[in-house]
Amino acid sequence: MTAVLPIYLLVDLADNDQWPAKAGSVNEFVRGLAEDLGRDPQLGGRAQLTVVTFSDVVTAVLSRHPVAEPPVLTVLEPGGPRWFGNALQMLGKLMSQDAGDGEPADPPLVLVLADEEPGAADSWEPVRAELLRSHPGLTLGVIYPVGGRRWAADEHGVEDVLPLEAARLIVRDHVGAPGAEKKKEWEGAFTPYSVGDVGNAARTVQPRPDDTEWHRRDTVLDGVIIRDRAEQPVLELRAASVRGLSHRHYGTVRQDEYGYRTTRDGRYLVVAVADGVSNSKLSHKAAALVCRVGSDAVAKDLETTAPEDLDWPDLIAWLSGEIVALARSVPAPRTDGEEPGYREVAAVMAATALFAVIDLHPAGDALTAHVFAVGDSPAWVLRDGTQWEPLLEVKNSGEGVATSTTRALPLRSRTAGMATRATVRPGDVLVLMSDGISDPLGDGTGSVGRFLADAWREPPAPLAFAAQVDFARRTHDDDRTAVAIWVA
Amino acid sequence: MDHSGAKLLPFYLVIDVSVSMAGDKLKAANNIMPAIIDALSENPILSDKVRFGLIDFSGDAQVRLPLCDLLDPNLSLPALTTRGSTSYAAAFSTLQREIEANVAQLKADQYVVHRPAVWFISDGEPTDGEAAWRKAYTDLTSSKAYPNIIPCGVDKADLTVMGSLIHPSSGPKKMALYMMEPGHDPAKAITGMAEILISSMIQSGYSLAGGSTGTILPDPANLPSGIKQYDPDDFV
Repeated sequence: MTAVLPIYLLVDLADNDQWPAKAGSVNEFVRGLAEDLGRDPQLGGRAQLTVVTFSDVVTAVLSRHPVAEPPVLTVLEPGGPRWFGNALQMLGKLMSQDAGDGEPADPPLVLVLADEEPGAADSWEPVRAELLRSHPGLTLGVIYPVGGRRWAADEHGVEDVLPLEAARLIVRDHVGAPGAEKKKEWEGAFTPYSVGDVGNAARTVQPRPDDTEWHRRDTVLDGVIIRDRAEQPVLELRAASVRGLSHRHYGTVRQDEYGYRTTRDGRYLVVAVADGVSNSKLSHKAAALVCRVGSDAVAKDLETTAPEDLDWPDLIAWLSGEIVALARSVPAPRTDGEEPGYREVAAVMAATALFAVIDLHPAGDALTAHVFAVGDSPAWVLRDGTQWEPLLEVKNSGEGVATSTTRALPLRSRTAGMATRATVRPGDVLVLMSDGISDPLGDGTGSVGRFLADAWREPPAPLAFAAQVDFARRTHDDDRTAVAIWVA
Repeated sequence: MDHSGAKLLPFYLVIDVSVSMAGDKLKAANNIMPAIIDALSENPILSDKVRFGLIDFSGDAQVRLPLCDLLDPNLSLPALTTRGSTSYAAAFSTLQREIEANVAQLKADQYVVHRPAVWFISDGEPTDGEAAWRKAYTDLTSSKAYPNIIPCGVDKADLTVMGSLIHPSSGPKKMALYMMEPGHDPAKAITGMAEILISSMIQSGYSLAGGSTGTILPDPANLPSGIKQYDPDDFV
């Protein structure tokens, strides 16, 4: 038994200056469409036409009419204001009813004849999404009637053709060219990542630029293969730093940063991640300094010192001094002619610092990573693609209510910070991150941990990595940075 | 449910529904929650993190809305009605029980819970004995999950009594009291206090996004007319 092709024509009857000529032109269109379809050898025997008119009321004026016979048309009258959302909803019910009678049917085709776009208060989008969901393969095409305008639901790019010709093209697209596979000119799609409850913010925030810092980017990313001196791949690196929803909403720059480089002799890879302290306005400058100047300084020190002998407290003290020097060079109003001290600078620009030195000479099949951190930017190793192992202490794991104190540069004290060493084998992933990611990661055993372990089993495409770092999850709106390293 | 690291700001509105609140004051009180919902709808970054609870009290205290997401589409707001006398002891002990249970549950669900803020609105003096309600208050404020308390007094609320409810009453994170100025319309004052609450909520949420914690109170220069702010230092 051949499958029915259900075609629904949704006709806008809202009163406007197209009447009374519109009644005639719509009926002419319906007659013409039925004739066209009736003549088609493929579709003539199985297409069924339903015509539903809408304005503020929704009425079916023709039901499942086989196109082989000429349709009997009613006299159409103009109605009240149009509501697409309501019309699509009623149409959806009708379509489900029709589908429910058990006859084999192709995915339905819905053609909308509309004079104007839906108004701002007309909530048609969720209804359309629901229709597309409950009728897989459904095509929704919009055709201008006499003098109409295009609106966003139209996916066909049909312009400047008569309505009947537009209908023909849409029907042909929906059904497919006879015999042949439709040849695609391009491929690809993008779906944003989310883990669990997405929250209102992820659905509604519209990003604003920071008009005090036009030249700082919302998102930066990298994806490279690092080779040894014999040009053999040693490791793959993916990095991304993404502005969080909160900063996007309030129009503040991204305050996270990352940096990486090898030493000149190609022996070591130096990685840096820095998280600018949020309530300090220029913290992104501190974060950028830690990453750029800091990784260069570490690379230079490695020319004469082995990684296990690096004097990290000395580096941090020096970097702190550099941050203060930078602050002093930024013009700021001061009434007493004094230079700002460490504490004053820290109130205006401060950042955490996380460094890793990876020895590109493997020890067996594994690489050794030397990690040092000041503040809450943690380092993890994903073991065997399943188990998240923290390399440094997890924050806020105590009792009572939460507080947000964090250590950050510039620091006067020389004892701040923690150092550790880790072995990274093939199948492991070393990940340095800011707390925008480690907070939702928690202890690594929750849904975020499982998501990231799945996403990062193998090095993903760099843009995909950035999209994964930007996953949506309710209340997690901080800037996010991750640098991930896989042993080749 | 897995909510590792998700931040939460709990707010509690504790409101006097003794018989004296009947009429316009009660109407103003019933408009507080809808006004908060409107403000949250415009603040998506904040609304994801805020949970609200409503307790009313007269001779006894009842939880009218357990701590919840006010933008939940299935939520129905309770209508406040008046009854009985004015027991501050009942209010504080019910509040303490609720806060302890709520915070424990949220932490068990792995939320990161910030210090709750309590907005306490009364239109008259307590009718229960001072020893009883002072004890209930001390138990509340010495609990590990003690809240920040911002008292608001209208009509016949006693200035000194209300002033003694500010918590913390000293230090960098001290709170304040909002009192209706004598002769002003109490219903309008209640509406004004709701505006202060909303402003504080929004500013606290913004400051949380910037990494600080704590309940931020609006600039005293910008208060609605008919309302005066008192700091703990104003009371000897």
